[in-house]
Amino acid sequence: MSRLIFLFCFLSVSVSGEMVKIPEGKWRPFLKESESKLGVTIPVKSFYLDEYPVTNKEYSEFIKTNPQWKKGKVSSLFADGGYLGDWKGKTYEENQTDSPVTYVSWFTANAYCQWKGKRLPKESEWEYVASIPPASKNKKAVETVILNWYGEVRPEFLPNVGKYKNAFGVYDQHGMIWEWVFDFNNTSVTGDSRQDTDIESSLFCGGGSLKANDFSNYASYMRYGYRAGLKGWYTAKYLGFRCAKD
Amino acid sequence: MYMKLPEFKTLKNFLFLVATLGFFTFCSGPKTEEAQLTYAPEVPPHIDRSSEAKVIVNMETVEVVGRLADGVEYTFWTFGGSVPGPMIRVREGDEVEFHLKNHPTSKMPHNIDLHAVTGQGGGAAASLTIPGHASKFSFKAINPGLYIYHCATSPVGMHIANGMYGLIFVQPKEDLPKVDKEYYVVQSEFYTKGKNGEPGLQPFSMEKAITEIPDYVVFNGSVGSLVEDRAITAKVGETVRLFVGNGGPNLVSSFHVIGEIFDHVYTEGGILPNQKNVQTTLIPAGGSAIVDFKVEVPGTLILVDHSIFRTFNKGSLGMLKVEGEPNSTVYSGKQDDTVYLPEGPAIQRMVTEVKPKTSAKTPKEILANGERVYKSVCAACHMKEGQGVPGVFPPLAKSDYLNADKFRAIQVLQKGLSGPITVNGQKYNNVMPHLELTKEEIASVLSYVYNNWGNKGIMVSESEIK
Repeated sequence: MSRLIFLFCFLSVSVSGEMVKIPEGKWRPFLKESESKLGVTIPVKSFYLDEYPVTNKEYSEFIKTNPQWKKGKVSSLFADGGYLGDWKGKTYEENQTDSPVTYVSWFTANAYCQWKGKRLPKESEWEYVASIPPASKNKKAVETVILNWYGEVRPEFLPNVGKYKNAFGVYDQHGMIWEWVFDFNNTSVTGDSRQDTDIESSLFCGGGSLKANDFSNYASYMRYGYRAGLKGWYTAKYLGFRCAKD
Repeated sequence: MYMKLPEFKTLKNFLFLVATLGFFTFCSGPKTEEAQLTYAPEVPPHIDRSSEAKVIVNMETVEVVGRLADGVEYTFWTFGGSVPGPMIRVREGDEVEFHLKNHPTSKMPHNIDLHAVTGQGGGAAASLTIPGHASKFSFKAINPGLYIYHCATSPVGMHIANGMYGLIFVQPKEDLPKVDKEYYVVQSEFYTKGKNGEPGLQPFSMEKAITEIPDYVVFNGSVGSLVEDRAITAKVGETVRLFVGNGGPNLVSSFHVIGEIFDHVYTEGGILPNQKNVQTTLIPAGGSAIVDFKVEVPGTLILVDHSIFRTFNKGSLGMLKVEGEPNSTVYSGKQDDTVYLPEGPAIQRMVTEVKPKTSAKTPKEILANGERVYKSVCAACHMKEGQGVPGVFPPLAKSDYLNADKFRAIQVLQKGLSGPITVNGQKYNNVMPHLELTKEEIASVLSYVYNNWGNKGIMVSESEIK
């Protein structure tokens, strides 16, 4: 019985929407930008980041007070036809209460964060925190979590948040879903005047190996490839988000 | 069932429809058709038209769990749900409109690099597609030949290692000579966390992929995909063409068919038959070859990578079964069989690669484990159904020798066997090597044999083995 009570307490804490204060630090970008040099790190200022990805329950509260973002109401300019595609009818399945919300677009995620008085994290912020391994483990542990997730059987329903925690106390940046970042499309968008350089910066064959700062970080390639494939109104089954704050 | 024809209220409407159809038929450029994709070992039908066309290719990327070997599963990333992906056939000069659809249940972004494309990335950048979306791009099939296609989303190696490749044949305007049978074979390798044969869902091992030491080297996506009832077939006198690709990601293939000589080889997938009478042709990773030959005598021809340990220890073995009348001039078959043992009847030691780590407890688990050991160690000689090979390898099915004495059977597995024995009334005089099996493996494989093919249905336990 006492175990049950403990479990209950743990779960009720786990969805309270706490933020974690991220100390300032340095982050070495995964990709070498044309003007930067290999091995260069960039400073990241201290900020706050949601402890967990936004859950179905939290997102449905947002919709209650902001009915313009209801399933079936949203303009196709802001979210494609897949919006909240895992919700049967107008709301989520009962066993999905504390699972990350997915099938959300950049626009809807952005609106959610603004409603909360927050914002989407910048790519550099998100990646900086995501590069931190769990307490008393090295970077290899991050890679293992990512690769295990790539290799595992796709879950039909996403589990509750709280599966994986890094040393900052931030949960589930790896091993469960992909996440939107504010500047998701800065990674590599092809057919754009910014691309007119000698090195092809898009993330297929050549781009992948010419631009990487760290080849041992191969597990991360996929995340950058994923972002490069996104448009602001896209939604997808394993794509969710969390918010940040200055 | 009949279809209701549309009703035309007025003659004017009808004439307008006819005119519109006519316009699209005669004035809107080349004929449009959808490519007929096929799954290995099937090859899409020969293209008979003599003019260029606009060809629409619809291909879907999907991530599926499937069989890599008996008892071994793997999360494959695929084109079209299969490894290799579907084979595409277009004609030189065709305009290809490619639609790449990434299934909504996918976790990963995917794209396609077709080596048949002249243009940046072979279409890769233009086709980067996240789950639940579709991309479209077009290319002109300028260069005839046989080409690999593969996913090129970073990390490229991982997408290829997980199964994302296939072949596209751009049929030349001046066609290759007609043959009776065409087949589609792709070699590739897999890198798993567990060793070869380790059961269960095996995750990808990036470490082994980087050091280029695969656990499996296979044809058409899994161990045994081209053997027994899944073998490709031909009849004596027929000509056979193999479209062979090598998906890699790392190894080059020494492609060989045991018991055949390639009449023509179109080296590296080009369209000139640039060599005659070839035994083994080299197929680079991300490359291909077209070979053709006439089958002259019946029998089972074995497709292998002649870098031969891969074949017998890692899986790159396929079969072409040829039926028909024997021709003793071309090949006599066995003409005599006498005993010759210059080293005496000593038993050779043979180290087996299969060391499954299981802790089979229930009879069901023990039998399943035994089946796996049997298939990987014993089936090569004693055959899949324990039928043996008459005069050479004694049968295990309904075997009086086996059923008479369980402890003798254990001894045979522990120490090997040589010298004359009689099984079901037939004499055998051969050497069975000493297989280095664990007690658990011996117990489970014997239990499996005793519980199949009309044997007496007893279990052998580890404690009975000294």
